[in-house]
Amino acid sequence: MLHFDDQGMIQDSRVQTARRPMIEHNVMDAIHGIIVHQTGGSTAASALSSYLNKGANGAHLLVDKDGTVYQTASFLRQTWHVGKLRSRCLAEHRCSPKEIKELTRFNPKAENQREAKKVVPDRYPSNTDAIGIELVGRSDAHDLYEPVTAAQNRALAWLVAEIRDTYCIMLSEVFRHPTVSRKTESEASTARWE
Amino acid sequence: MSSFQFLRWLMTCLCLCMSAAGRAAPAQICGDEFTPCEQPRPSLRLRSLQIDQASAHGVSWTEADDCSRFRITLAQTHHYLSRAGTITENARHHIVIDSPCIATGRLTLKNGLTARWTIGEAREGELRWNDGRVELLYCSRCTTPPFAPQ
Repeated sequence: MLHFDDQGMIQDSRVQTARRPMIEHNVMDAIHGIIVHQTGGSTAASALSSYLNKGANGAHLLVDKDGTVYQTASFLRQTWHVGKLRSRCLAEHRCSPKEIKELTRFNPKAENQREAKKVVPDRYPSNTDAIGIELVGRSDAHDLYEPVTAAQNRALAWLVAEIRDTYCIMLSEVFRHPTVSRKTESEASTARWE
Repeated sequence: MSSFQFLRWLMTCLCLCMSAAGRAAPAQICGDEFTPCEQPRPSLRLRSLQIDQASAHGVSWTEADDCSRFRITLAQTHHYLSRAGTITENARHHIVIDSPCIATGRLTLKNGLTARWTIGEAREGELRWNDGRVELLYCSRCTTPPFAPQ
């Protein structure tokens, strides 16, 4: 189980504090899931530096290639790491006929708005209730991400287990980014947390 | 002309100049949780514009996506390229989705520079210049089909 200070920062020797207030948004009232990402860049330093820019976005945690874990945002705050949600009922084959009809037209705005009215597990965890974990990893000109390192996967497994234990999150509520939003399929495809 | 009248004339001129300058340089279009901030970019002085694929599968394409719904024309490509702004890699990664259906092509500027372009139905785009630069694009002002509602 994780322990926090009154600012929502993890108190554990395995986590380095690198808080970037620029990427923090509204208060996060509840945590219902975890979304695993890859940064697209090749170093933790470049990600940490980009989070200092005006209007920057990021996730709560950043895992370097050697497994070093940085906490970049408070667990009391939302970060904008997910984007527009995909329909969960479509992926799990349980949409109503009305929803299936609405989904025949590509309208990510309307799809996201319909999902936002639902609660987990009827929808995927979103910016409002998901912890984001970024794994440092470069993508090439064809949007193919490099493999996640063994050290990153060890750190990821530890983080996921601790966050799940702390917030009573089911394993079924931990997702790769492209599962919950329309992103390139190779992002975090080699991430392992079980 | 009295000094008071001259001062008023000078102030009017200054205001008109500032207003004209404001029109010439459109302000940044700033986004929110689901739309990125766009930086205005200079208009492209095109020598040629060509479509290679008017409709193709994007990186988030699945079997549920029928890309016959997105088929771009030269006029729509020109419209997009004249209105899209540049966005940061950070915004592209965290805010913008990847389209299931895209179009691709090439362009040449009057100064000889060439680029390969990609435009997605979710209004994201990219220019890969032959000098190695990559511009990430988004067009919040492309409100009509074939582009999806924002």
